[in-house]
Amino acid sequence: MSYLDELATLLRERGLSEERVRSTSDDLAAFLAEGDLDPEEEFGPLTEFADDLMGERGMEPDPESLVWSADSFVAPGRLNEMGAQGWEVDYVDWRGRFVSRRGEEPQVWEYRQEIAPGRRERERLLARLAPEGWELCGHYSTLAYFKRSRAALVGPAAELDERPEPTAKRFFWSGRGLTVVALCVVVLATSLYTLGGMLWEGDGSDRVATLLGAGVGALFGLGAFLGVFWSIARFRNR
Amino acid sequence: MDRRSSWLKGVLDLLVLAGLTEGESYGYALAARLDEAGFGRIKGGTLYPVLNRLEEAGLVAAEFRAAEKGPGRRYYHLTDQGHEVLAEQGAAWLTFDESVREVLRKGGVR
Repeated sequence: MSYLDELATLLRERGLSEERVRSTSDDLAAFLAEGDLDPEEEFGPLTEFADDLMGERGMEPDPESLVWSADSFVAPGRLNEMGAQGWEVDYVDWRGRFVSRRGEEPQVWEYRQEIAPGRRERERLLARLAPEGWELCGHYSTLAYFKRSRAALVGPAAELDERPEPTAKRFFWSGRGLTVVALCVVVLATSLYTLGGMLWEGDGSDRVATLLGAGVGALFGLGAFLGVFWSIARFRNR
Repeated sequence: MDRRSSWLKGVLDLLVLAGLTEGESYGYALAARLDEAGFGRIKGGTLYPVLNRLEEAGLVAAEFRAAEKGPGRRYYHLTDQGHEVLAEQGAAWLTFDESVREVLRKGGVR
C-alpha cells in the first residue's frame, strides 16, 4: 500500500468524510507530482501527519489559566515570581486581578508595576518602555502593569523545562497593604457615621447642605488623591 | 528544532495568509512562493496542517477542483475574517519585530 493510501485509511479511521479523504489524497498527490517529491520525506511519519491534518494541534487543551491578585506593595515581586514559573498576564480585570495563562511550552515573563494615572500617562510610559521590549498588560486605579518576554532578550533560553504547580493561594497581602486597607475602612466608617449623625439631627435644608458639603469634600479628596499620584507619575516617568 | 524553524513556526500562518492576498493559490504554489521569498523549502508536512487549521478557523476557504490530467487540487482563498486577522496579527508581529530590532540594535547588533 502506498503512503497516500495508508494516509487515506488513517484519515478515515479518524472520522474524516469520504469526500474530504479523496480530495485530500488528490491534493497531496498533486503536490508531490509537481515537485517530484518523496511522500515520506515530504510529509514525515504517517501517523503524525494524519494527526496534524486532523487538526490535533488546533485541538490542544486550553492553556492553563490562573486568576490571582496581590496588593500593590507585593505585586511586583509576586508578578515576577509567577512570571518565572511561565505565567503570562493577559489582562488586569476590573477588580484588579491578574488574569494569567501558561501555554504548552511556557517561557519566562518579566513584569513591572508603575504609577501611571490616566491613559495619557500610560501611553507616555509605554512609549518610553516599548524599545526595551515592554508591553502594557493592564492597569488598575493609578497603576499600570507591563510585561516582557525574557525570550526577547535571551531567545529560546527563556523556555522553561519545568512547570511548577501554582500555590493554592490566590491573594497575596502584605503587612503594609493590610494596614492601608484597615486605615481606609476606619476613615470610611468614621466618615459615614459622622455623616449619618449630621443627617439625622439636621432639618431639611441642613441635610441638603450636609450632603452637598460631603459631595464636594469627597470630590476634593479624590482630586487630591489623583493629583498626588499624577505628580509622582510625572516626576518618575520623565 | 533550530532557531529559524522556531521563528517560522510562530509566523507561518501569517505568511500563508499574506501569500493569499493577491488571489487564490494552492499548496505547492504557496510553498514555492515562500521559498522564493527566502524562507527555504517549507515541507508539505508543515504547510498542510497550517492550511487545515486556517480553514478550520474560517480564515481561508478551500475549493477542490478536479484536473483534466492528473490529480485535482485544493485552491485556497482568503475570507473576510482572514483579511481582518491578517491585518490585526500582522500589525502585532511588526510591533514585536520592531521591539526586537530596537533591543538588538542597542545590544550592538548591526
